[in-house]
Amino acid sequence: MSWVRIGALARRIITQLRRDRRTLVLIFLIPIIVLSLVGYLVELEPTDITIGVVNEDVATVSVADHIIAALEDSGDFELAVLSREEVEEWLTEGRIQAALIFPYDFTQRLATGYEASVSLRLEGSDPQVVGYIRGSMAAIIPEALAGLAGMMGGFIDIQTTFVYGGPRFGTLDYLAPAFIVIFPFFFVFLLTSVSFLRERAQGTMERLLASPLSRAESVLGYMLGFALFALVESLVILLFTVYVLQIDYAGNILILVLIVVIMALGAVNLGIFMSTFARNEFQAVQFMPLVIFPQALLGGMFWAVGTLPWFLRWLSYAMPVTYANFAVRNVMIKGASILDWDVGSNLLILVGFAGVFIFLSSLTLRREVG
Amino acid sequence: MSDTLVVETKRLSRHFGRIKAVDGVDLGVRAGETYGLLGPNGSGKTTLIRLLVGLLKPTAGEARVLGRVMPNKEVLSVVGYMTQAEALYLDLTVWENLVFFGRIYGGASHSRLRELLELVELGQRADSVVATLSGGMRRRLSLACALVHNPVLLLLDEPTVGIDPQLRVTFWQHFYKLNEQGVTIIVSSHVMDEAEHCHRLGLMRDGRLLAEGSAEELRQGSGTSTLEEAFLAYIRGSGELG
Repeated sequence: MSWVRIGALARRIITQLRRDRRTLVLIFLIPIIVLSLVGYLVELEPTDITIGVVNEDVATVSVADHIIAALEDSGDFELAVLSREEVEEWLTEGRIQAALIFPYDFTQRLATGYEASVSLRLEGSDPQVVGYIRGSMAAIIPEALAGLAGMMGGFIDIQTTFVYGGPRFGTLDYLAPAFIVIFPFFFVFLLTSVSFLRERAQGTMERLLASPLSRAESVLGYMLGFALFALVESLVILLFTVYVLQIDYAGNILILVLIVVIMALGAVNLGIFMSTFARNEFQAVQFMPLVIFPQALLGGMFWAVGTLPWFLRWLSYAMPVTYANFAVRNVMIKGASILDWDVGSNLLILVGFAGVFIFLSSLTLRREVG
Repeated sequence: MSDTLVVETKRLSRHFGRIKAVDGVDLGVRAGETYGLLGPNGSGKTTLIRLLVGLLKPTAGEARVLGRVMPNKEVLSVVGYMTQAEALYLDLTVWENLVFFGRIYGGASHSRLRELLELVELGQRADSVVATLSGGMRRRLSLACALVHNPVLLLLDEPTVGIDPQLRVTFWQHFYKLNEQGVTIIVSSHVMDEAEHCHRLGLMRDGRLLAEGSAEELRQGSGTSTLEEAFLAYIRGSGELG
């Protein structure tokens, strides 16, 4: 064994890597970006939660008023005073994430030593928000009651109901729909970058450019090829989540297919665009976390975009995955149709993103002819 | 051979920054001709060929192929192009590569592809994955891929670099045969003895065309007995070596 030879090899690698500035920057930058995001996000509690309050308690000195004041003081959420009729509409429109309904005999029952009930109606599509609200309620309501003189014997039963999902609707039910579109998106993006890079490296790109094949044809060809695999991948995830993970979906599979196709179109073009920034497959692999991690973390996959602080929210709104998640959750959890604003508008935005990526990739393909 | 010009350039120039890779080249290649671009590495042969095939846009002047100003996608359906690089899909079989490029050029019949495969003597290896082929076999396949669409003009950028003498002879036999069928061929090389195969030659140096003519004409014109000497004489004549 010769240390000279080993040393020569090590030095060569260090020199090569030092010259590969892009990889170098990515090696050090990406872990820092990803870690600071994760570190920040795991500490994060949902913000901007609004709770509708319906107070039908007829007592003049109302325990319900006292509890509402305690909720307000806690600072955990915003409150909106509603009538019972408004509750469902506000919940389905997403203006409130939950409603707390006090019945007319609330104080009376407590004062006479009975158990009083209060209804907590939850929107239910985001388990994180559900857990947060339920946890807060379970802490604040008994505490508020305990602070009241003469109510020592009373007991409040929180009756929880859900608009979507249900008590067994867990984090997995929330995540599964996102996986159906996001995995194919990342997969198509990655494979396109690497394939394009390979076309350049092996010289077949040159041959294709010297043929009658047009830019539009090459983009469409790539897309068709990969879209097939993207759809099969979606189908596999879908079937796995339905039959193995036993997740109930409410939605229309055809809309899901449409979302996957639009995302695949965007991913192919983003891949072509990004591949021009990578001189080798090594760099392409480094781009993967740059495109994938922020979208996986901020695209509303794990943490609902609405619960993020504003500066991260702006980043989320700049990412296609965010809108795909909005659309696919509305379809799969709430059973929304394509004509619903929550689905249609997000689909249009996704089409817009695909358009931008097509424009960017056509710029880079044009640059091939120098 | 006729007087129709298949390729015609006027003051064709292409600069990369301050480097004048091609510098005011006037070239005329007649139909049915085999035209050799001769010059040392870095003399601008590849850039000139890439300008002709439309992979580069000229900085000044123009290049016409079959009467059309390049770059032009339509013309490319009758132009064949082969580089030093094999430019094949290594993970596909020989046959799959041929079929793919055949379809890119609008679909070649299977009998035509069979014929090409026999021509380059790869009939036995049709179902082999390209990655398992030897370098020489890959070069032969690469040539076949450049011929799938029966091009009327064939642009060959150093097609015989790095291949063994036997294959070089075979390649030139192919080129002769194609030329007899009426295909116009432009071939670049830095090997002077290949020049004897060409009807006419263009001597290139520093992006410029120093002299043009048949090997015999070039030798006589410079009063030398070999092409190497002729080449050096023309360089001296252009003032390059004082």
